[in-house]
Amino acid sequence: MGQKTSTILEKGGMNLKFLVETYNPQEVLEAISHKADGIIVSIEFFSARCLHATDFEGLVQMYNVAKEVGLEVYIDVTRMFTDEELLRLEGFLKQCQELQLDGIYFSDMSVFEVCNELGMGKSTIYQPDTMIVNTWDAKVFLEDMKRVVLAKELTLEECCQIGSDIPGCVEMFLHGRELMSISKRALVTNYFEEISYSGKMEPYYYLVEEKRDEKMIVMENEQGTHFFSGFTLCSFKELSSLISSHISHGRISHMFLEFDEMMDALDGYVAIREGADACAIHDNFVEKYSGNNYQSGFYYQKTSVRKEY
Amino acid sequence: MKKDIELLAPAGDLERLKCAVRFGADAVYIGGKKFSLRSRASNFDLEDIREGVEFAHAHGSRVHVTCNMVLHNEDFEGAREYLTALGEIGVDAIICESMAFARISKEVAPNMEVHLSTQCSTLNLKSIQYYQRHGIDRVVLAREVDLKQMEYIVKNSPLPIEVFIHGAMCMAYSGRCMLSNHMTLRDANRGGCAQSCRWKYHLLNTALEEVSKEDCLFSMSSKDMMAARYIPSLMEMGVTSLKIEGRMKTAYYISCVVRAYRKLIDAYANGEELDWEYYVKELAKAENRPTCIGFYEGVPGVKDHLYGVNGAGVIQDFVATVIDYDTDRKEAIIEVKNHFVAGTVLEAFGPHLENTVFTVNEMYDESGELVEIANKPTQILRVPIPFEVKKFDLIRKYR
Repeated sequence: MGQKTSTILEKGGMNLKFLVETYNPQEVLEAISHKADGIIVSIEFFSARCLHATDFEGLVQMYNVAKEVGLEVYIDVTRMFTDEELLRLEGFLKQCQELQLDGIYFSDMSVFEVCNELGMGKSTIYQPDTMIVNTWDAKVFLEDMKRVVLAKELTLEECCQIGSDIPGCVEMFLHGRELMSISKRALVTNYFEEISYSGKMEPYYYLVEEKRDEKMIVMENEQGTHFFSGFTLCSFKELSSLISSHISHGRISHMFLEFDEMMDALDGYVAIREGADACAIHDNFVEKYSGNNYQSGFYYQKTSVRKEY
Repeated sequence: MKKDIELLAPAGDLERLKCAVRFGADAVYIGGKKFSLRSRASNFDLEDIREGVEFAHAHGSRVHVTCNMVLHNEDFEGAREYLTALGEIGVDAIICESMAFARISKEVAPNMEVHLSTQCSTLNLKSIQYYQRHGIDRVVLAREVDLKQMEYIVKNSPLPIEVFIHGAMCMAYSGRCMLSNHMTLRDANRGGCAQSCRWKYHLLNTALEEVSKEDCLFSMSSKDMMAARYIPSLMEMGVTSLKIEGRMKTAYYISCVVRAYRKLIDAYANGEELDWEYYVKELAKAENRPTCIGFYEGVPGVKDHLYGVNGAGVIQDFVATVIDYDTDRKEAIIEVKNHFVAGTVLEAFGPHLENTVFTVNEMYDESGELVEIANKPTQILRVPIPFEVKKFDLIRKYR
């Protein structure tokens, strides 16, 4: 790709690649012009949650655009599968074998097994959203898989430790609303039935705890109900630490963000990787997009076991 | 049909472990002071575990120790030593989520089984194949599996399968919920869950207009599971273990629930007629929240959730435990647990005592003084009871 060597790289960090979620070929072209290193595509039925998923045809279109310039291409196969659904998964993955995908994200271990049986085990990336919180479990998974995605509830220090322990094999969620919880239940539909609400179901709603102000997001689809944080994570200030710790890839999410905002974020991350002032980029960005409540998540907040008095 | 199906009961401490075993549990699961997910229900130090294992084994029961915390790097400290100690004590199995922790266990305590926690949300047969290759000896299925899916898994699984039959349910896939982390900084995956799913929320559309009702705000709170009616099906299909949730539950709850399921399992195994009304009524006497069947018949609907209430009621029906019985004077020596007065109609029950009703007409304290009101927990009283009761039998208000 001919990336300019950054001061971080000169200090011994690896090149952290930025992956952006794209919904159509036009967005892929834009992502290329903003120096994305790869794209992530959500597929109808197989991705657990997305506001704009595509089918195999759509994937191929985006794939072709991306591969024209050597971009990495990944797919989200993050559904939690029942045994009856695995035959359909197998059929889809066999189709995917026509492509040279760089990775397949999964949350349910059955996806790894099916991939493995098809000779694609080493293309899988374990992303259970929580759970990957220590070096040793990550190493166990990496015996068979390509990468693991760290849980979002880790501190920066913990992320850096794990990244340093397993250089080049650890990915992180860098930017966007964090997924907090997933349920197989149709919690919004059930609630609407309880209160006899007859309005049209929207793609998502805001959820505000009765004693708090923060607006979390709740989204229901045929797979269940998904809850997202009330803040939007950004990692501008932390990027240099992550790069120095050999985190290999970082996802920039499109969900609940306008495409232009996501490209702005990508510009910021690329600039920092090339040596720009992270604090200045952070401050400007957060001010520009103040409506999205940008915060640092759990980077500096360690969660406890017991109630603190 | 498996007649040797395991009834697996929770126990938050040594007293509750013994209670569960006495009332018929084939196995109990407990939490040590380290590595366990329910921090407030993990009261066993190694000496307690040793005593619990000795007691359980002497009564033909097994002990599983939960080590199902989702471990951060720092949490691995002492793992090797702890697992070695559990192996030496004779613990039958650990329940864990971490593959790395499972490996350590296999290395230092090879005779101790490793069971995969429901935290891993195992929903299908393919996943089990992965875990089998990594040394897992048994899998606890996710609660999101329905009966038909369960049957397919159980009949084709290379590993024994354990399923939940009773108790509280998370609304989310186990291990995949950080609501508590986000809202209270208490880590749900390390035993600190604040049960934020049971709180109330306003629901706003994307135009920020409220769509929730003020007198019935949005909630995600699930009713508890009560799957008694599925026990015969589970026994027929070959499930290895029937798991009751609740390491934070009281000894009374555990006694009622274990006893009811014990009777149901034994009756079915012996080809006896099943008295559903009895089992359901007995389970309801220990009820914490209103119950539903969980995912047994598919995804729960509106009637399976709680709106407007937390639902976790405190029952004060349990009034005393029996310490001894004087057959000459036909008097029970009891320890008071909850308030009751002379004249109350009570019911005694125990591992070998059917529900037997009596009226407590008089009671005496240890100095022989007549007592009208028993309202001091741990107080010892003498109560005339016309039938024999044994130590560890329980007494509750008759309903």
